[in-house]
Amino acid sequence: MRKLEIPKNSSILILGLPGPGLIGTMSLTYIIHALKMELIGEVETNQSSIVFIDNGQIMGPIRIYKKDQVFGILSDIPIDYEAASGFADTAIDFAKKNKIDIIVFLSGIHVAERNISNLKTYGLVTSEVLEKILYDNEIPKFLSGVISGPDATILTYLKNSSIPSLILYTECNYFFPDPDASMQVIKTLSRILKKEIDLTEFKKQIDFLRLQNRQLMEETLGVLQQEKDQPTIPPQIYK
Amino acid sequence: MSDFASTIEKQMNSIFGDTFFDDFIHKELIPLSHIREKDSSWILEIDLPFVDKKNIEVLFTPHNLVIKAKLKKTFCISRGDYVTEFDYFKKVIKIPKDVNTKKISASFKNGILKIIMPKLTNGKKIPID
Repeated sequence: MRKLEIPKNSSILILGLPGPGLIGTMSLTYIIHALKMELIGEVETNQSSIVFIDNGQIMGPIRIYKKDQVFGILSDIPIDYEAASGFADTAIDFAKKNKIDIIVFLSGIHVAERNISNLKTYGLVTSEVLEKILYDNEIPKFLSGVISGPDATILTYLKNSSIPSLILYTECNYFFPDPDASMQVIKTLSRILKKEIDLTEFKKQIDFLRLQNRQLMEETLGVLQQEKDQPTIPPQIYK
Repeated sequence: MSDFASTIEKQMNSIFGDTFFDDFIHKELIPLSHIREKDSSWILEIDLPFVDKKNIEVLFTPHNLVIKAKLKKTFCISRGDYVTEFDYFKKVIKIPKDVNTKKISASFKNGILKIIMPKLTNGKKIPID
């Protein structure tokens, strides 16, 4: 683990992509809306079979937003195992070019019988200096477990990068869009960013988000399922 | 509709996939579902946002479970000038073979319908040598 100094007004890059409960996408989409972040670019991808048309403008599915010191890379398509390394590489490259101090990656962990009024977010850090962020924001450390699939690839790239990264894992329903868990992520990020984010509008949209995101959830599970069939713990050959 | 909702709708309506095509063919929304196997039962969960418990119907046929639920309000999907209205969720799910159909139970919490299907435990006794 590297020992670095984090500047006071750190620039932060948030990565939100479709994963368990779609919490990365839903929470970052709302943060972009609430903070009025501006679209500043797109990530080129050959994987995309869709584009979005907004006000007559063609928009790619992986876009970059910015407001002051906060940057966000939002993907509206699931990132499969093959594309994960390219995505992570691009995000880290972007972070270096834009002098980002901290990368925050949003994801979820499945909890079957979760209490939606008391969902927890756990944190993983790639640098000791970020431990203070966990402590100051009362984020318990993700102490043990196995992470597989595209998340594992992205985490490996973040771990090997020179930029300190904070990975937030929030308890969620893995299989259905989970706006409640997304709200928990937004609350945690709001504390980290020290920016108040009003959730009133989000709360009104909870059922709507679950309904609208069915297709994306199905596609995302298809991508996550590809990796699930593979062993998560390699067999021991020599002992 | 708010800016946020409209942004989400614009984005999501642009995605054409199997689920949405089925929705349009039958004019009924297909809910997301997930089934998992436990030692003594199968647990089926169905995501039913915008639904009240009293408006859910679970029918049991010899091989399938039919779930139908009325939405609290009509859900519209617009593409250009064309608007499709949806009032119901409907899904037919094949029941696993080893289920004790007399003991199937259901509950509804936080918009998720949970159906527990206990496995059959009676059978032919095997002698132990």
